[in-house]
Amino acid sequence: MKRFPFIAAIFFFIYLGCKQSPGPLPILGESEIVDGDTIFHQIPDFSYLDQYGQRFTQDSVRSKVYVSDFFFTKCPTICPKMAQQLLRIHQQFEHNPDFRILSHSIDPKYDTTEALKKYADKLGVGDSRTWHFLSVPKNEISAIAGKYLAAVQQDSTLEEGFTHTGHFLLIDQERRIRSFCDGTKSEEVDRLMKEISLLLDEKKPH
Amino acid sequence: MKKNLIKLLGLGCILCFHAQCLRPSQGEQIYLSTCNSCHMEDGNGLADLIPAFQPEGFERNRKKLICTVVLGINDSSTGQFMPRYNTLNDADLANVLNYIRSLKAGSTLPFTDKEIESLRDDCR
Repeated sequence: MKRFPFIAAIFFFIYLGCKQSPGPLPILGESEIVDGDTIFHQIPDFSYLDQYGQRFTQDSVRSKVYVSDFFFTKCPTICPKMAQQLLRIHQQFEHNPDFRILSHSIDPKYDTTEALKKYADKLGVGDSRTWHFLSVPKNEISAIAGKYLAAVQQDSTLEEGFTHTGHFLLIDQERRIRSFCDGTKSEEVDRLMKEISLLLDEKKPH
Repeated sequence: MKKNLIKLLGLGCILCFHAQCLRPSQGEQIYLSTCNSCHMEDGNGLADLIPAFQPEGFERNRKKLICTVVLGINDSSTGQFMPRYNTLNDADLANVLNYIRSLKAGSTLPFTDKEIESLRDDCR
């Protein structure tokens, strides 16, 4: 009985240890300090046409959390596995008004608005207001991909060019990269989905 | 001593046999390296984008099946696309089709390289 306080204390600390929530997700990419303020890497302004033929810009994701990836509809290598995983993410978060998925096509010649709409239809997300398939003009592809993949380029295998790494990038409400994962691996996507929830909660009024 | 040797040999044979069984067949190897990325491990594909293999195709549309692999699909009206795999030889093609058959339509007739040879030239 004398030992009770001791054992109770151990359990108390174990409880504290478990209760402690993980810290906020790191902000990835190069940051610089200007006049004493840290400027974090941010996705620049953009303007593309989506599968509905509507202009999709940085304002379309204002104050939203989104997952970004690069693909093309005719891609027979990793894209179907990525689409399979994005479907899981879409299924879980499609009803959240603060969440979007941006799939950037890197084949503007073939992936017109119509082709992207057909692709979305076939995936069963033809009416989605959450998942946007964007046609990126050819001369802008490498610049925007660089902005998204800057933080993960070191890990990538450069087999078919850097846009083909199959990564999903998790972007926060201020267009900063907060996490990434291999979009072909379901267990990594499981982790990303938890992080999406974390980010969505970050800006919720308490 | 002799008995032990026989036992050891027996064990060796069993192990060899097992290894043979466990090694993926040629068809499976081709499937995993060539088809799996789109058609997925179970052959069920992805939604309507990559339709699941249909057992009927293995019964009735055998030539169409062979030609699809050889010529691919490029239909801009439906957006359906599949690369052509015309570099697969007759035996490889038979093996991989038989592997897919084992996934989806086990009871149908197996493909032979002879059948592939006689049909693939008519693909257009």
